[in-house]
Amino acid sequence: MVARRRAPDYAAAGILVMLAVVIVWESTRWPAAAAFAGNPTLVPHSLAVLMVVTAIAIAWFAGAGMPAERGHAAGALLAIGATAALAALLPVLGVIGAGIPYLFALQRACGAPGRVSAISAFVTPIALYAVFAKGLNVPLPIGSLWPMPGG
Amino acid sequence: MFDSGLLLQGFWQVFQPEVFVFLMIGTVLGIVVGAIPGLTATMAIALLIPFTFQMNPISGIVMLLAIYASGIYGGGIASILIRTPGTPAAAATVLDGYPMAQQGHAGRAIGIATISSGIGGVFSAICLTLFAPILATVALRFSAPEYFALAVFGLVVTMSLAGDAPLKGLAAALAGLLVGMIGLDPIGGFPRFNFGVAELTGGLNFVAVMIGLFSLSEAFRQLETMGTSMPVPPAVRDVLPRLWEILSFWKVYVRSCVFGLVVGVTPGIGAETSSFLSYSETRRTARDPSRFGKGAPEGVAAAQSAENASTGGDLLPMLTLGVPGDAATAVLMGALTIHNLQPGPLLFQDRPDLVHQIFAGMICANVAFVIVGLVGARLFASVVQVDRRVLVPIVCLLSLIGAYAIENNPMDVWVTLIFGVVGWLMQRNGYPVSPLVLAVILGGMMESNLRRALVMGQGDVAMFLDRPIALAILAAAALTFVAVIRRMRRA
Repeated sequence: MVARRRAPDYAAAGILVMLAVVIVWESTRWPAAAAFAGNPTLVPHSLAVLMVVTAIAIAWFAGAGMPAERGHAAGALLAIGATAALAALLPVLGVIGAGIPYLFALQRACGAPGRVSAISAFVTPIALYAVFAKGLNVPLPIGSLWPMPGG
Repeated sequence: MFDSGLLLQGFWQVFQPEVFVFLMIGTVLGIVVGAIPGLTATMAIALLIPFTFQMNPISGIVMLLAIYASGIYGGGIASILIRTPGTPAAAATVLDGYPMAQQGHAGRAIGIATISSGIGGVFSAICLTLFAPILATVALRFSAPEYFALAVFGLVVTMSLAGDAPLKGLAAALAGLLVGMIGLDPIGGFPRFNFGVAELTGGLNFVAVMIGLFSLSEAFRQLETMGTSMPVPPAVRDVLPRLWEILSFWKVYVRSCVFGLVVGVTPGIGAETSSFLSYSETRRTARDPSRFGKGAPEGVAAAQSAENASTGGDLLPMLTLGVPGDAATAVLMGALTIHNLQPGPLLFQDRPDLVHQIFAGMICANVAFVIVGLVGARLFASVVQVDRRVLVPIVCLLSLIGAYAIENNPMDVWVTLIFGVVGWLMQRNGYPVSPLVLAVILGGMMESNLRRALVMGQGDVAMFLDRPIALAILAAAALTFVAVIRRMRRA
């Protein structure tokens, strides 16, 4: 149990060290500083040092404090996968074409009633498109798969 | 300085139909979002920023201010009715609000909560109006060393946002500093941390980052606990409180308003701290403290008035110094910059008309939620039961569409998604996301001002010794750091 509580802190410490290494590696490609005052690596290198020190402290005190509240990760992972698919399909299918199946699938997966999901999934993307594209004059993707109006 | 003529013009502007309608929309949306457990005012502001792009600046800003003020108030509705705080700030309202509802006084509790929030909110908005121009005048004398010191102070205080685990807050803040560095070097102008990706040369879109961290990640969190259904709220009747009852709370209001304002101005702590402080003090000084926790109306009044009294204080350092004190004001600051308005003392010098319109908007927003809250109490009471299985997927869709709408850039959609996942993982493991967002803002301010200061001092760090204000702020930062570390050791 304790090991399970410590694992995220060890992971966070590892990520911080990795980020510090990336900062130092990246800074080797920057232009050389003419003087201390104009040194572009001053703050990034200080940040890298702080990251390593913090990582050591986090690993040292791993598992300390109250454990965070957790539910079932499966629901969130499902939503993340579906949302990634939506992000990939937005330029191809457009807000309405991608939004309707995304909302319906996710709402049903969450356990929402079928009729409510169908109505909500159909109305919401169309309403959002109307508000942004027509009401606020902010263009949203209509989808490259469909023929352009008048085109 | 404060200009009563400009303030009157500000009120006139807010009551123009094209602004007033958005004030009311913001008020209703804020109460609704605040009343739904799991959705916060910060999330609503981040989600709705893209809707303000094409509005005139004051309409958009007034709408977001209304969401902020009414969202803080709306959290109390769910606290009273179903014992679940709608927002973290409303946790203290549960203590006496829920017992009142159980005794058949749900309407009376909501009425007292509404009027009390309004009193606290209007007080803090008036204080903001009076004190912000004074602080901005002082800040006009600030130069690079003072701004560097302020950024350091803000960064140290963000560690306290992690409660008893400031190391986690520090880790989040350090990650935020790195995120803020992606783009161009502030002095040299060469690209850094873009890893050859051309779209990263201009840096990450801050609003896309905020939507990911505050909206999408929270939606993912909600999806983890989707199985739990909301309890049925009790009937809401007789909402309008009696005048004598409200007047009898005058001591509670004086104390809560002062607590709220002071806590609000202090960076890193917000409405939830002020409401608990005020509640404890009201209980401690009461003639019969045993009544508290069993349905004492003063408990509801103390918690609600203090949480809304902190809103004006939260806005004060953001508007005058460009240093956001908490997550909600960081998001509001992002909204201002989108409309090409850079918060700080120069805003008061260059656009005093707009600053006074913001003051007027904040005062009106606090009056608006009192009227709307009392009139629509029964309707808002039913909102706490909204089906999250339908709502949360809509939040996910809106997050991505909002991110795309910022600059019609598909890259921003991916930025939002990545930060949504990062935020979810952080919260799931007890790492707060607010320090990350604050560090993105304060990091740029800290780095550019440090390097300017060093150029001013020809590379001599001792130049800070000749700047008493900068030195005092750095000393305060050091003391805060020591206090945070001591608290961590005790925990």
